[in-house]
Amino acid sequence: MTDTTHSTVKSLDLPRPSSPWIDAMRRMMRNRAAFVSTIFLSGLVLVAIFADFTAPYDPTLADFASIRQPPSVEHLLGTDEIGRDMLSRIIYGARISLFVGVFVQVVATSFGVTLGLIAGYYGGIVDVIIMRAVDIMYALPNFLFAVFMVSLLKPDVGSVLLTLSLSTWPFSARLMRGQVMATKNADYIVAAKALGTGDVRIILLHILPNAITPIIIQFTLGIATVIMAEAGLSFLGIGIRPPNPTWGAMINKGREFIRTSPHLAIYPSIVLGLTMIALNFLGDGLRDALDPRMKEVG
Amino acid sequence: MLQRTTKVLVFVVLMLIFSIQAFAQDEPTVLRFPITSDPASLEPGLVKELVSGQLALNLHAGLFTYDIDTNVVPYLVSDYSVSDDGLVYTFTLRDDALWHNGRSIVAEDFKLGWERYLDASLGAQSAGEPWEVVVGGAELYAGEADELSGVEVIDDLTLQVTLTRPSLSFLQSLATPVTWVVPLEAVVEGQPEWVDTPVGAGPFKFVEWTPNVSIVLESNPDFFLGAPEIDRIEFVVVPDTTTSLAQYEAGELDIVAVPPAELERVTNDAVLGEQIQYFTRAQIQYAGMNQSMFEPFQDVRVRQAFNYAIDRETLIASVLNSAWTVATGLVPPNIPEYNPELAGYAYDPVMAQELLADAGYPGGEGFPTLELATLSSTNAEAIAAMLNANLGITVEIIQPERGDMIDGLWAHDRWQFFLFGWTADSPSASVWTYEMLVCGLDSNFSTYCNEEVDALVEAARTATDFEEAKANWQDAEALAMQDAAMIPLGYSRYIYLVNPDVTGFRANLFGPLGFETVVKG
Amino acid sequence: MQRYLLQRIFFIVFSLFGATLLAFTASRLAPGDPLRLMAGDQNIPQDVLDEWRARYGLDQPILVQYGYYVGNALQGDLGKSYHYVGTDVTELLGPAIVVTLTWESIAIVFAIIIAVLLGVVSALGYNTWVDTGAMTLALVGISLPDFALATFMVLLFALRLDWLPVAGYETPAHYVLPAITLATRPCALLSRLVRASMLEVLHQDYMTTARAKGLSNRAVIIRHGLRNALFPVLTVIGILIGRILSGSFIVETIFNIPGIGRLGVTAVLQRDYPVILGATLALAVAFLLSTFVIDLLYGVIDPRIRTAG
Repeated sequence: MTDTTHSTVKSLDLPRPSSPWIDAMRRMMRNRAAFVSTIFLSGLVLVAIFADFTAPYDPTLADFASIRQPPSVEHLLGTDEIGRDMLSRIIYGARISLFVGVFVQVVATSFGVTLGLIAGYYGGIVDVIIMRAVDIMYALPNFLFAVFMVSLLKPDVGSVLLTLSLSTWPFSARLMRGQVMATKNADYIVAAKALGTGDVRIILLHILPNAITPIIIQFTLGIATVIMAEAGLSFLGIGIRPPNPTWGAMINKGREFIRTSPHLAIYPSIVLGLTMIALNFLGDGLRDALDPRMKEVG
Repeated sequence: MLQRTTKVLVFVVLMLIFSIQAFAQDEPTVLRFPITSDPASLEPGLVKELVSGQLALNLHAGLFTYDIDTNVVPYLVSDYSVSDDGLVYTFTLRDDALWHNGRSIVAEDFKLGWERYLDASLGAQSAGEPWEVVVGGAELYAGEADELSGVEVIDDLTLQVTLTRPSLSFLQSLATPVTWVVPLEAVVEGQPEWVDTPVGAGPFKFVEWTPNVSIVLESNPDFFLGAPEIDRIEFVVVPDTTTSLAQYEAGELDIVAVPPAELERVTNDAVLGEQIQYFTRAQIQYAGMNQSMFEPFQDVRVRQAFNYAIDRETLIASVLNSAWTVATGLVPPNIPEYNPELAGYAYDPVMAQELLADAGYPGGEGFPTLELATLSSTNAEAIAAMLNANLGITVEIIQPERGDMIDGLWAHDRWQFFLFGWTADSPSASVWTYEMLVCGLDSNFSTYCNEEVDALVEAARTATDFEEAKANWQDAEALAMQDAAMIPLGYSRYIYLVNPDVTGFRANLFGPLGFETVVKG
Repeated sequence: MQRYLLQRIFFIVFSLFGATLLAFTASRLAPGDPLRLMAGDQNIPQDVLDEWRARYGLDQPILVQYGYYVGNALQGDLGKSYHYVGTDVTELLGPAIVVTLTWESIAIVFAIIIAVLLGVVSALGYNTWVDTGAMTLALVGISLPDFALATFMVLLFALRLDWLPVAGYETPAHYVLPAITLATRPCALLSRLVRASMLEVLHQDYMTTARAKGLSNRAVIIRHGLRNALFPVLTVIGILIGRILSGSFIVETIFNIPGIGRLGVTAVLQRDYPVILGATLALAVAFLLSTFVIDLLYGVIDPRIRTAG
C-alpha cells in the first residue's frame, strides 16, 4: 500500500538540538485555535485529575428526591435519572475517558512504532511478517472486532483497554514504517552507517526524531478516536462498568430520556464534542507547527 | 351534445369514486406490532421465550387455552370428561377444525405430536413437566419406550389420556402452547424449527419471516371460531424500546409496550395519555443472590441486610414511575395462592447496617466488590446506589445480552448478583415457590437451599386438595421470605399504548392474547 | 503491473485467511456455551447438548474445524446460525449486505461530494472566513458520536418537525437520517484532507506554470489542481468505505435497519459464532476489495504506479 499522505518528511540534515522545537512552540502559540484548545485540554486534565476537589458531589451518590432535575444553583448541570449530580459525573467521566484515550494511545503507539521501526529498518522477512499482521488487523472490521473481544473477555476496564489497544496499534505501525522507509536511505543515514554507528543508535538518534512528527499528530488525533470507540462500546453496555461515569454511557443513558429530560444527553455530548474539537485543533496546530512547510503556504 | 358530454363526465367521475372506494375496501387492514427480537422458533412445542409464545398464540391452537381472565377454557376440544379417580381424561375434538394446510384435525395428531416432543434431542420445553404425570411419559423421554402409552386414540375425534396420579395442573399445561401440536406431514426433517413454512391451526396463517426484520401473518379464513377481522399482522423486529416508542408516536406501529422511563411523559401527554392500557401480569421482579458464586450471601444476615437496605417504594415510585407495585413476597397477586398477609421487608437502613455488622462487615468494611448483572441498567444503578449509601459496599454493574444473561443464570456460574423477572406460564404458585426455591433445581438461580422449604413444597405439590396445597405453598413462601432467599422488588404489569383505531386488544396474566379479536379502523 | 496485481491478490487472500482464522480461534476459545444459548430461556440436559455439539461439529480440534469451515466456505456454505436455528448464514448475510450497501452507498456518495466541495472551497479561501466556517463545520462533524447525532436528529426532524420517518428502511425517506448520520464523520475527515491536499497542490510548480501559461484560474484549479489533490484522498476513501461498512452498527440499531452491522454485532452479543464469522468475512472482503479497487484506480489515474509496481 502506498502512503502518500504522510511521506513528507524532509531529509535535509541532522536535526539540530532544540531550536526547531522551540520554533514549533512559537508557531503553536501563534495559532489561536490550537492555543485555546491547549488551554481547554490542560484545564480539563487538571479538573479531571483533581476531580476529588473539583467535583461538587460524589458522582455515585444518588438522591431519589431530586431525579432528573434541570440545572439549578445546587446542581449546575442538573441531576440524572437517579438523582446524581451531572456536573460531578461529567468531571469524573473526564477522568475515565481521558485516561482510556491516553492509555490506549500510549500502549498502541509504543507498540506500533516499535514494530513499524523494526519492519521498516530491517526489511526482509521481518518486514513481511509484521506488515502481514498489520494487513490482517486492517482487514478485520474494527468495531465488530472490538465488541467481539470485549464480549470474550470479562467486561471491565482491563479488557476495554486491551481491546482498544489491540485494534489501534496497526495504524501507527504502518505510519512509522512508511516514515522509516522514506528516511532510511537518506545520505546522512548511509553516512552514519558507513562510519560504523550501531543500529540502535541510528534508529534512536537519526531515524526516530525525523519520523516523529506525524506520530505525534496521530497520537493526538488518535486519543479522540479511542474516546469515541469507548463511547461506542458503552452504547452496547459493554464499556467501562457503571456506576463509574463515562461520557459515552451518560449520553447513551440520556437517549432514553431525550423526550423528557434532554439535558441528560446534551451536557455530556457538549463536553465530549468540545474535547474532540480541541484534540483536533491541537493535532492541526501540531502539524502546522512541526511541519512548517504547510505554514509557508498562504 | 352538451348533455352527452355531461353524462360522460358524470360517468367518469362516478367510476373514479367507485374505483377509489373499491380500492379503499381492497386495502387490507394491517396491524403492526413490535417484537424486541426474532422468535427462537415458530413451533409451539419449542416455545422458549416470550416472543415465540406470542407468535404461537396467533399461529397455533391446542386442546385448551387461557381466556382473558386466565381461566382454562376448551379450544380444539368440544367436550371432555374426567374419571372419578381423576386419572382418566377423555377429550372430544371439534369436528370443524382444520390445519392451515386444509386437513382436518384428528386425535392421532396429538398422540404423534406429543410423542415427537418427548424425543429428547428435539430439546422441547414440554419434555419435562406435563408428561411426568402421563402414563409412559417418563419412559418415552428416557428412551425406554417407543410410544406414549398413556395416550390412546379412540376414534378420529376422541382422545383418552391416563395419568399416573391425579394432577391439579394437567389441564393447565394443556392450555399452554408447549403442549400444542403441529401436523407431522408439515414438519421438515432435520429442520424442526420451521423457518420456512410453519403450519398450525390458529387464527392466523404464516406468510413470511425475514430474520431481523419482521414476521408476517394473515387472517385464516377457515379458523374454527371464524376468520379474524384483521387481514395481516406484521410483527416488526425493533430491538431498541426507545425507537419503538418513537415509531408508535409517528404512527409507524399500532401497539407498543411503554418503557418505565417514558411512563411519566406518556401519562401526562394529552394525546398519548388517552391511549394507555394497563393489564395485570403474573411476574415478580427480583434481585437474586447467588450463594454458590458469592460466599457472603450464604449468611442469612447479609441477605436480610440487603433486603432491608433497598427502598422499594422509592425505587418504584421515582425511578420506575410506578410501573410496578411493591412486592412483599414471591407469588404475585392474581395467583390463587397469593398471600396478602406477607409483610415483606420494610426499608430500614439502620437494621440493615446492624445485620451487616453482625455478619462481620461493619460499615461494609471488608465486603468484597459485588457484580450486579442486569438487563436494565437504570434499576441496577439505583439499587447499587442504595446499597452503597446504606451499607457502604461497592456494586459494579454488568449488562450482558439477554441470551447471555439467561445462559449464565441457568448455569449458576456467571452472575453473583442479578436483577431478573420470573414470569408465570401457568397460574400456580409452583412457578415461583417450587421453581425458584427448591434445592438443586436449575431454575433456582440463587442456589438457595432450605430443607424445610423443600418439605413444604413437596407437600403442596402432591396434595390433591386445593386448600391444603395452598396452605403449604404459603408456608413455604413465608419461610423463604424470612430466610431472605432473594430480594423481591416489585410485581410488574403490562403497559401498552394502543392506536385509538385499534379495538379488541387483550392480555391476560401471561401477556397479550392472540390478535383474532382485534379490529382496526 | 501483472506481478503487482498478483502480489496484491495474494496479500488479499492471505489477509482473509488471517482475519477469519483469528476470529475463528477466538470464537472457539470463548467462555460460555453457544449451544446453551440456542435453548432460549429454557434449560437443556447435558446429553442433548453433547448431541447438538456433535451435530455442529464442535467436538473436533480447532484447526480441523477451521479446515472444514474453509472447505465449505469455498463452496459458498458458511454454516448454519446458532440463533436462527436451521437458517443458513448466507441466507442471513445476503439480504443484510444488500440493505447495507443500498443505504450506505448513498451515505458514501453524499459524504464524498460534500467533502470535496467543502475542502476545495476552504482551500481556495485559505485563512478567510469561508475556510474557517467550512472547517468548523467539519470539526463539529467529527466531534459527536453517531448515537448522539442520531438521537438529536430523530428528535428534531422526525418527532418535532415530523418531516421524516423515525426508523425503518421501507422508502427512500427512511434513508435520509441514517445516511446523514453515517456520512457526517467521514465527510468531516475527508473535507479536511481534501483541503490540505488541495493547499499543497495549489503551490506546486506546475500550477504556477499553468497560470503563467495564461490559463484561467478556474481552469487551472479544475484541470490540474483538483485532479492532483484528489489523488492522495483516494487511498483514504478506500479505507473509509471499509470502515464505514463495519462502523454502521450503531446507526443501524437506532434506525432499525436490518443491515450487516446490526447483524454482526447482534450476533456477537448472542454468541452466534457462525454469523459472527460470516459477517467478519463479508466485511473483510468489502474492505479489502474497496482498497484494492482504489489502488487500481490509482494506476489508472497515475501511470507511474504501473511502472513502479
